[in-house]
Amino acid sequence: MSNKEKTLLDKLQTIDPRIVYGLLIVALIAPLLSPLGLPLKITPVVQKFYQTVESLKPGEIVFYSFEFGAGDYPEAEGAGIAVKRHLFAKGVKIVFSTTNDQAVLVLLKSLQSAGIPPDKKYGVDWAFLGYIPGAETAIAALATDMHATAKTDHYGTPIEQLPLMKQVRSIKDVSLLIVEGGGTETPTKFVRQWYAPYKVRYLQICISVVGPTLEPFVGAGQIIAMVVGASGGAQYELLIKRPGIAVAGMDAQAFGHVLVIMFIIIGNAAYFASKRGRR
Amino acid sequence: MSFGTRRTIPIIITFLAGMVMFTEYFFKVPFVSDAATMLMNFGIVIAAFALGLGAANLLIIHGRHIRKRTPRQWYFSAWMFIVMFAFIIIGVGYTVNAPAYVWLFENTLTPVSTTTYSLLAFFIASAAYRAFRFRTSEGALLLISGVILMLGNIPIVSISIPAIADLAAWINRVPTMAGLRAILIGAAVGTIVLGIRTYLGQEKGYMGGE
Repeated sequence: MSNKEKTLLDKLQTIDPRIVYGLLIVALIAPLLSPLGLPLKITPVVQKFYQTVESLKPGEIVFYSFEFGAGDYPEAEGAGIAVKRHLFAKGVKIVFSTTNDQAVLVLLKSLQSAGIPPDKKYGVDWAFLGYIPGAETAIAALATDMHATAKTDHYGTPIEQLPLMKQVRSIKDVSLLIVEGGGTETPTKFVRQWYAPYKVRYLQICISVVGPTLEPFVGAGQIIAMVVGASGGAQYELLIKRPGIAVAGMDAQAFGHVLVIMFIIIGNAAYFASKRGRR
Repeated sequence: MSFGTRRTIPIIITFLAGMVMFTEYFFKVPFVSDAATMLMNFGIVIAAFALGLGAANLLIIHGRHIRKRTPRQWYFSAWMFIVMFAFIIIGVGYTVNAPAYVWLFENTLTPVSTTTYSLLAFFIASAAYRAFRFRTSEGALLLISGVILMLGNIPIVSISIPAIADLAAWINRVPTMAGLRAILIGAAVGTIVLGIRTYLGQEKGYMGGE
């Protein structure tokens, strides 16, 4: 093998990160500007999530713990919006809450994006208990007595004055728990404090990197189903027949993955070629 | 108060609080549940105070940097003060629902957090290219499973070659779950042991002791 060939193989093994970044930007932006509309497959776990929400009867209570901060929220934004739209369409009553101080305004933005139907009244069809400090202690306390844990809602109204909260005192009044975000830690706390003692039906929305870490809870049946990342969100948007931000981003995600795989192949091919050359 | 009493009283309080929570979790005795709810509300109030304590701690640390004009640091500390007080004044004065607070949140924290998170995509792409090499058998396992999972996440691949999607799901469902369960169960056993030691007064770390 000539010196020139060796140099080329070495270069292929150590491509400048700026080239990797540049190509990744192109791979992500091009499909967003000119979508290809690649087909999507609905996975059983997302289908199960959808069916669980679909099985709810109008008037049933859903406790929705929103835990995303501003940073990781965009990845699962489509999923969260689609699930909220589905819940409002089902006519269930939703109690929102958070144990993450940063999540308050992110939730309000998400609700704005989901678009609360005009016939759904605050305090009657949905309520927001606001930020409750105390992490796992707060989660445990909410299960036993929501009125003792959150005296007022996010807007400062005593929750006793909200017609919806007159129906909801503790976890015993809740038909379904949905947790959106919270990394690995918050879902684990909900499993410990809500599922283990009360066997509440529990669904989770999370980002892709968290999905595998929550698989043991899904496998054990503690979490019924998960919608994971933009891919899960895109599937859910298709299920409720309202394609949105997640479907739009799927082409970009696919191109990004293909590019990374190509770089891995190039790096390994060059590595083996140069190794064989040295022998 | 003697040293012994200073140690004994917290141990007794910890033991009693622990027993109340333990009994409430496993047996649901009505009056114990009331006591547990009260203790949990104490915890929430203490956690709220801890936030204030954290803010005070930040003020002390960054105030010191500004006073001492720590090179390449003090202006960042000063900026932290400006942003922190802007959030506190607007948030406390006009509530967090005020347009000014929402504007501040959506135009400072949101773009900064989102940008930082988005950068991960670029670092992961670059790291995957440099680190995923077929050098050892362990590295090969990581490389192959990583590539399968990425392929499984590409919708067109999972539709065209369902076996790849099935394999990716199997990796998540079997080896990943087995490894994570081992970690979770190990951590749970450790937590139980730590809890018992704490209730019995053998673990004194939370009191600042050895």
